[in-house]
Amino acid sequence: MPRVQSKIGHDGAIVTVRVEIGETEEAALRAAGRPIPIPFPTTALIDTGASHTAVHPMILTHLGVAQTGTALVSVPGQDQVSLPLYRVRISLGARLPPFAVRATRIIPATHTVAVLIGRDILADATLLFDGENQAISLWF
Amino acid sequence: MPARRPTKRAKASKGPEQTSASTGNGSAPKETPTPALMIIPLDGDQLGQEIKFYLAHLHEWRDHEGKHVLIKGQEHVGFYRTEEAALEEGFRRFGRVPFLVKQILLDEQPRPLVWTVL
Repeated sequence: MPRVQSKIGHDGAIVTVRVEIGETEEAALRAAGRPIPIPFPTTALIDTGASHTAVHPMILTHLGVAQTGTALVSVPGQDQVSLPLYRVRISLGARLPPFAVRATRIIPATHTVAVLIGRDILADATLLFDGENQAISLWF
Repeated sequence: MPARRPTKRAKASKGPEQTSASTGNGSAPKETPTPALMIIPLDGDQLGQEIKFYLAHLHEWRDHEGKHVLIKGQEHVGFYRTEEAALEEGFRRFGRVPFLVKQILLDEQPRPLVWTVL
């Protein structure tokens, strides 16, 4: 059972990830003979409160990911809004195949992370938050 | 150690592509529910036009519920059995530019927005 281990930092449960374009988009680039953007390594926060994984706009721009979806969301005091979605893959370690997600774009409140790992990725994971030892483990 | 559970990994299955790729609207609806939705595109949402088109025609696509529709601007390209098939067609036709691939859900419930989106 693949396991991801990391430490609990000042901002919470932080893991190293790589962000890359979606598989279908990559296949389209290959078919066109165009270069494939190199996966973007960065740090991510495990965010059990987020339904969608979210990626910093700078990374999406760097990879050139096209917006290909929306999610309808409700905001208190407003009508519904459409939330931009981007198909990307997130890798959480060399032993795990990447997770294909429909990520939204946000600027996280902290500067130390550029990705929020949401429940779309965590849905099949078991998370151990070891506060005493300041460590986390994720099993997939 | 947690017990092993089956994992649902990222690699989405590539099902056969749905054939229809015309601009037809399918059969006429028997009734016309009007989901009085007021959709506000958030800053950075490049598909406001497409989502309005989707919502305006949703009631006409009752027979295609569950499939994935490909929309670019005010053009409905087709319905596809899988999301990947719709994406493939979208990238083939339009390249790496914004286009909408959305599963047709007649009773889609909005999710609460739980983070600040910029």
